[in-house]
Amino acid sequence: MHRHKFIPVFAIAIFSLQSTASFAEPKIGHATGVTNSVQGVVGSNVQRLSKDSEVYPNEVVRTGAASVADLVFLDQTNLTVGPVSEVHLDKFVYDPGGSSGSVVIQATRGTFRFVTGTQDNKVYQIKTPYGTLGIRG
Amino acid sequence: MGRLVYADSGGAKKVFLVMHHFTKAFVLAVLLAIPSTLSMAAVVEVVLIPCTPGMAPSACGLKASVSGGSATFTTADGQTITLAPGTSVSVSGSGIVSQSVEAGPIVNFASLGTDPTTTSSIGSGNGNGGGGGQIAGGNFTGPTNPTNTASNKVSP
Repeated sequence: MHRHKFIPVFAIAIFSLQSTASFAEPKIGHATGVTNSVQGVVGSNVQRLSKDSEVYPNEVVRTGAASVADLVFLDQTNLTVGPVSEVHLDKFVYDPGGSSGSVVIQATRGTFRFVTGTQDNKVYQIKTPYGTLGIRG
Repeated sequence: MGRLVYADSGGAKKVFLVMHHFTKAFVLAVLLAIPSTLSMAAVVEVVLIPCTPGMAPSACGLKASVSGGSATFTTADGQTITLAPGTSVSVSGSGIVSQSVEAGPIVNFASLGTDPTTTSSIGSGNGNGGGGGQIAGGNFTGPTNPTNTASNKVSP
C-alpha cells in the first residue's frame, strides 16, 4: 500500500533525469550578460538564458527582438549574439597547451561578434549558409 | 639571477651583469614564449540575413569583417578568399562575392530594438560594387569606402 506513495516520486525522479540528460556534457562556457529574451536549446530542452547561465556543446542560442547574449567560453572566446539571431555551438575542444583544439560555431541568422580566445587562432571556425570563415592569424 | 661585475678599463667604469647559464636559458625561454602569448585576438563580425522566398537577392546575404587578425572565407562552392585585417567579405543573396575595406565595426549592439544590421543594412542593390559596405550589389550603408577586389558568383 505504502509502495503506491512512492510511484509519483519515482516518476518525478525519472522525469528529472530525462530533462537533465541532454546537459550531461560538460559546460563549454557561460553567459556574462543577457538582455531581454534569449533561449538556449539543447535537444528537446529549452532554457531561458540569463546572466551566468551555462552553455553546452550542440546548444542553439536564439535571441529575440531587442535581445543580446554575451557568451564567454572556457578558452576566453567571446561571442556576442545580436537581436533576432540564431547560432549553433557546434564544437568546442579546448586544448590549452597543444594544437588539437577546435572551436566551431554555425551562424544561421542575425548579427554576431566573435573574439578569439587563448587558443591558436587557427582553431576557430564560423560556418554560415554562405560559406565558412576560418581565422588565420 | 646573476651578479653585477664592475670593471675599470682606462678610467671608465663599466658594469656587467653576469648571468648564470640557467638564468640565460630562462630569459631565452621567456623571450621565445612572448610571440605566442602576444598573438592578438581576432575579431570577426558577421551580419547574416537568410534569403526567404519573395525576398530580393540584394536584401539578404552575408557580410563578415575581420580585425585584429586575418581570416579566410571559403564559399559554398569552394572558392577561398583571404581577408586581411580591416577588410570584409560580402555575399549577396544571388551569390555575388565582393570584398571591401572597413573603417570600423559593422555591427553595433548598443542600440537594441532595431533590425540586426545596425551599422550595415542591406538595401536595394545597384550591382556595381560601389557605395558604402556592400553585399555585392546590395547597399550596406556603413561609413566605409569599399574597394572591391573580388566579384564572383557563388551558390549560397
